[in-house]
Amino acid sequence: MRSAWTVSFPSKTKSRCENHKPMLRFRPRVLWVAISGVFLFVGSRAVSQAAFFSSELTDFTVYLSAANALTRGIDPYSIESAHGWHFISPVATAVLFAPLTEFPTVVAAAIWYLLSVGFLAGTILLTLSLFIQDRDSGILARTWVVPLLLLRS
Amino acid sequence: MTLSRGQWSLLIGLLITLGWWLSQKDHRFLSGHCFGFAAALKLLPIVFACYLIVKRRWVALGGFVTALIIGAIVMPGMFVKWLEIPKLYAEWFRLVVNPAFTGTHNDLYGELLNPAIKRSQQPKSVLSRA
Repeated sequence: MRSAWTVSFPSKTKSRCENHKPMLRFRPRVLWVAISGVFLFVGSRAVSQAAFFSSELTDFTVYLSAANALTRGIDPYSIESAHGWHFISPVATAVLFAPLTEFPTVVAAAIWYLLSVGFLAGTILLTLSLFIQDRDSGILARTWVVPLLLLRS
Repeated sequence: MTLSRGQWSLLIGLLITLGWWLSQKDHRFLSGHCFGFAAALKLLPIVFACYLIVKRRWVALGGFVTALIIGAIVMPGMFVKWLEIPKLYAEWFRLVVNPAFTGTHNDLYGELLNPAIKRSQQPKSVLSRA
C-alpha cells in the first residue's frame, strides 16, 4: 500500500529547474478526503452548537431569532436569542435569514453551513481567477491551505 | 470561527470579491450591485461607494445605490410596514452605531461594546485586547 506522503528525491540527471519541486507532495485524493473530514467536523460542531447546546459558540441563532421575529411582525432588536444575545445587524440581515425560519433549527443551521462553505469556495475561486493567469501554476494545488487557515482562525 | 459560529461574514466576503471580479470583467453595474448589497448587510462596505465616487464610476455607483435600496428598504418591506422601516434603522443606530462611535453606554454595552469581553469586535475593544 502506498503511503499518503510521497517523497521525491532530486535526480542528478535532472535540470536545476526540474529539481525546484517540493520534496513532499500530498496525494490530492487523500488531501481532499482530509479537507472534507475537517469541513464535516466543523459542520457537525456548528450545527450541534446552534441546535442542541445552549453555548455561546454560535451567532446563527441570533440571526435566526431576528428573522423569526421579523416574519411575525415583531421588532427584531427587541428580542433575545436562546443565549440571551441581541440582534445587532442591519434589518436586511434578518430578511436574509427569513427563508430559513421555515425549517427546524437543526436543518436551518445545516443549510446555512453548506451555503457558507459555498460562499467560502466561491470567494477562493474568484480570488484565484483574479490573481492567477496560468492555470497550470502549482499554486492552484495549494488552495486547500486557505480554508484550513480560515478554519484555524 | 466564521464557519463554525454560523456568521454571515463569508457572504459579505463573497459579495465583495464578486464585485471586484465583475469590475475586472467590466460589468460595472453588477459590480456596484454586489458592493451595494454587501453594504445593505453590513455597514462597513459602504466605503466602496466613496471609492466609486472618487473614481467617477457612475454606472457602478448606480448599481450600488439600487442594491442598497433593494436590500435596505424593499426586502424588509416584504415583512414589515413601510413606515416601520425608518424606525427599525433609527433603533439600530441608537443601539449599535452611535454607541460604537461615541462610546456611550447603553443596554447592549455589557453584551457588545465592553472592551473586556472577548467577542467585542469594535476597533477600540480589539485595540485594548491587543
